[in-house]
Amino acid sequence: MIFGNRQFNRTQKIVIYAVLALFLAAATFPPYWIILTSLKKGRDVFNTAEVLIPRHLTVFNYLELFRQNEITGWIVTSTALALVSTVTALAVGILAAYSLTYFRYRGVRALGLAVFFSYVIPKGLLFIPLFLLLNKIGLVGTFTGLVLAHETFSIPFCTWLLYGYFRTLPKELADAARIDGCGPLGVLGRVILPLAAPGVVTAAIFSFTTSWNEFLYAASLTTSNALKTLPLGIAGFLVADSFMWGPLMAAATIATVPMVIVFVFLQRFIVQGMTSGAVKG
Amino acid sequence: MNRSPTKRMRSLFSGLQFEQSTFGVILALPLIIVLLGLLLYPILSAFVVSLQSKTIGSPGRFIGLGNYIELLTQDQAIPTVLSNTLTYSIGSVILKTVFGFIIAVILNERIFARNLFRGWMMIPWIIPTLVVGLTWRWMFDQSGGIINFIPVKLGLIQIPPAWLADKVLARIAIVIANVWRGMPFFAITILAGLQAISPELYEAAAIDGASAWGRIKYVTLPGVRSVMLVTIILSSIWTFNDFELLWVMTGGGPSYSTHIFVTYAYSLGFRGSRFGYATAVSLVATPLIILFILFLVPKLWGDES
Repeated sequence: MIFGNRQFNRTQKIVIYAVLALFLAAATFPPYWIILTSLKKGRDVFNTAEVLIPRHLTVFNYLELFRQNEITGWIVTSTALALVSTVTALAVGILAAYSLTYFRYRGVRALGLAVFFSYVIPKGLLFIPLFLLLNKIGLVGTFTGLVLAHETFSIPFCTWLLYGYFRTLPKELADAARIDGCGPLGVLGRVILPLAAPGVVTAAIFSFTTSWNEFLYAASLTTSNALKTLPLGIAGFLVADSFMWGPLMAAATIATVPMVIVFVFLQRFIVQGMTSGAVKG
Repeated sequence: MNRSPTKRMRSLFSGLQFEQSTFGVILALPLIIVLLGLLLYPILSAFVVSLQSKTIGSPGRFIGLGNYIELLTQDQAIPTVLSNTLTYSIGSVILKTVFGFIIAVILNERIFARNLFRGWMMIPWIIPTLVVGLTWRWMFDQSGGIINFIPVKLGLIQIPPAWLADKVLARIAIVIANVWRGMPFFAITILAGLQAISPELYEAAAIDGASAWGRIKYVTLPGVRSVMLVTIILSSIWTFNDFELLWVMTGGGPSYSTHIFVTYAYSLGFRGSRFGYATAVSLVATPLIILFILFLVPKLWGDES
């Protein structure tokens, strides 16, 4: 705190709140514009003049989206994909993080390093290699293929985050449980996991939201309309020169709703995940 | 050799617990399979593909370093793609650092409704990146976009510029979108760094007569230096490899002026199906990325005690 407990003087106060207001306005305007556009029908979206006092607002775009029903399929695919990848990544990540923190074997340090590498390796480097592999084994255009692609980021991510979390837990507790006759899986299930619950929640949130928002793998690994995810479906509104901004922004709003819900109720975990150096931004 | 009893007990118990090495390996086996099968193997085999002339559905023909030679000497787009990648990442990361730092410093002061504003500031991060890209595309739209509307209405410009169809303006637009989206990540991590600085340091500096600016310079900046460095490197790696924003905002256009390596590789492979060459393009920056990661290792992975 640069000013500590002292009061700001008048000029400082004005500068600080003016800058803050500017940032908050910049952060708020685009989402406001998304929602406003989504509530305008047809060519009304081009009535830019009605910036602050909009007229003719309607939920037509939303009704139309659900009437045409395509979006239901996108939501189902995205939800299933995010759930399956997250559950798998948590299972693999919990076991691996436990192994990395509590066991000694040859190569354990190298494995930890490999997890870090695979966590930082960007998708932009991996998407073509992954496409070639999945194409070779016939999984391009399948749900399994998409799940495998999502595991390339969610497993390293969950393992890395939980590894960091497990290392902060006092080892004495595990020792005590072991002395009391707990097996290695018992120690994990009865001692470590209950203590690490906040870490597991953080890992789950990030894994789910990253999958939910994913676009590059969806674009390169999807061949049919049946397996379109929500982001891929939304990008599909950009056809040739006639952009349907109204329906597009309605679908975009729908895609953002789960993120907002997660954020409102689980903000604490999100901040924790971001600051553990643990999220791509 | 004068070890305390508790210390001796601890090492005894540790010995009891941690020696089951085979079981440890079994626990890590699913992870090892994923790392080898879904990360290491694809990258290594992609390197082999990058040495081939290959389209999908036909077996590749080995051409040695042909793709890389073409990339470095013949491809007219590569100098533009390289300079775009660098200006886009460097420009975005610098602006994200500056803005992130400013907002973090403000949100660390005793201001009105601080927690509310901390959450509010996160809005750009909550919105899916793809949606962010589409929204900026819509806002930059030449005729219906809100960004042109205001200066036109005020009579500042006669002909509204076509932001995303102009080589220079398009480059500026994608940086704006990237900075808007990435700023919260910087603000949150820098804020965490600021919170770790002891208030006594500021008090001491104030007593020593340091001005507000002096306190930023001698207390705040040194205090968040390492967390900022890590954030900058992580963000550089990911900005360098951005795809979503660029692809939906400009698709790399107009005429390659916003293509970076990832979007260029994508368009070569998935729009043009030259997979051997596309793979070479997507891999060519790998050494740089590995260098960045190696720099991060001691900072984030640390020494295991």
